[in-house]
Amino acid sequence: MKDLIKNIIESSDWILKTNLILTGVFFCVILGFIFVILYLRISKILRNQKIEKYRNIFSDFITRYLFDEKEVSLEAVQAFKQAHIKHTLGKRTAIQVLLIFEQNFNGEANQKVKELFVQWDLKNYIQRDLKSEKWYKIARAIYIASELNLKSLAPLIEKHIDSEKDELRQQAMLYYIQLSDNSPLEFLGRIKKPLTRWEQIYIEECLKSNYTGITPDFSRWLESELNSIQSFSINMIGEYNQFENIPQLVPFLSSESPELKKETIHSLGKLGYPDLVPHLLKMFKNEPPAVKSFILKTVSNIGAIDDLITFEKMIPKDDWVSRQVYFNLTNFREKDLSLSSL
Amino acid sequence: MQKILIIEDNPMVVKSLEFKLSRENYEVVVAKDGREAMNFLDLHSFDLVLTDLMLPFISGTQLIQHIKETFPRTPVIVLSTSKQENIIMDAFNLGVDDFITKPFNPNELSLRVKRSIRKFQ
Repeated sequence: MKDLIKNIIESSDWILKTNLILTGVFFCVILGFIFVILYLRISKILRNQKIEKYRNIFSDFITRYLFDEKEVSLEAVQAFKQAHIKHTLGKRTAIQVLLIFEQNFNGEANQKVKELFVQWDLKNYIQRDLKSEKWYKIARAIYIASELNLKSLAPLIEKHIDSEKDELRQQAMLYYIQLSDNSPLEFLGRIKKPLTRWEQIYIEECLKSNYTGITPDFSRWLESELNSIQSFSINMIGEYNQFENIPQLVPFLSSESPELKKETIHSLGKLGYPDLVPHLLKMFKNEPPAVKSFILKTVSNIGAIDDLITFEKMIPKDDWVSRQVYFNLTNFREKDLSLSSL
Repeated sequence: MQKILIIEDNPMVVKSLEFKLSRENYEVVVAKDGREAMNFLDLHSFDLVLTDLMLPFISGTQLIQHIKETFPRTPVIVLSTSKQENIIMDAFNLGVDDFITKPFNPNELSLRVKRSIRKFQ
């Protein structure tokens, strides 16, 4: 091998020399890659071990703080902070562990977790993240602020309610819903960007699972300038059975927006509005095929088979979409009837 | 000393429960999954089993069935994140003695543990 390399170097053939140099270069590159991969793997393993160690230290201390009859003194809390919550990794792990305890316990233990968060001065860390340029750091900070009820951070979160980044916007909404005592949807009056369908579902979910106060009167947002907020309010009136708002919903049956019209039909149907079928009969003829199909489906759900048959005569012969919907619905109803008569 | 078997896969919840119940003079044995719990149940007798429903290897439901068939005098308390009515009903139909949803109040949990053990004594 040595002789071969020596021969190549001494020979005047430049192709062989170039090959030798390139082989050397590639060999070094491969070695470099292997070292980089090994370095990254080992540093990740060490980092994870360090995080695990921190987690154990924090969870031991928090457990003692929460459940030891001999109360952990304020000095001990501060001494622990000095010893373990100095660097970013310590602060981040402390927050993670506190969040796990906060999410699993309620009552006095939950309150004590929040106390510990304040005593360890972790609010400053969240504040710093809220001012960051990176969206994921802000989103994480808003999430923590909402989980730990940090009401004082509201001014820093306010601007994200209309953020271009959907994740930030959603976290900000969650924050307002979770922290509100009796007006969880106050932010709907301040947003300028339309709500996407996904955001509407998200708000509904947050309301149902995270908010425990009085249910808001959704008719407040029926006059909103944004169609999406009107549509959301109409849907929520039906979802929360706010029968007292039926008179305010009825005018939306003549709305110019097909979406609002469909949402209103759906909600009124859900609320069992007795004049809905006569209303739909009156408006059916002048509606576009998409609304016609929706009306047929609603009538099939809420009315009798005779109501549905009344609509058949009004479907134009060339409106194949509505005709198909009608026949599918009547077939389904007939099958249903024959099954129930068995 | 009364013996409690805890089956839960969240190490921090386990640590807290172990700490709290030990302070109240219970002997606590921890299993991190259903399979380990089955092994413990074969080797020791317990005064109460506190279990999650979502467990690796053997589900909480299978474990409860096994306990109720083999050790009908052992009370079982479910500690779960699930708040769905049908899941809670299914658990009671299997014969569990209590159902606690997360987040839970640790003081309330220890009272319920005490009550369930007393009921079967």
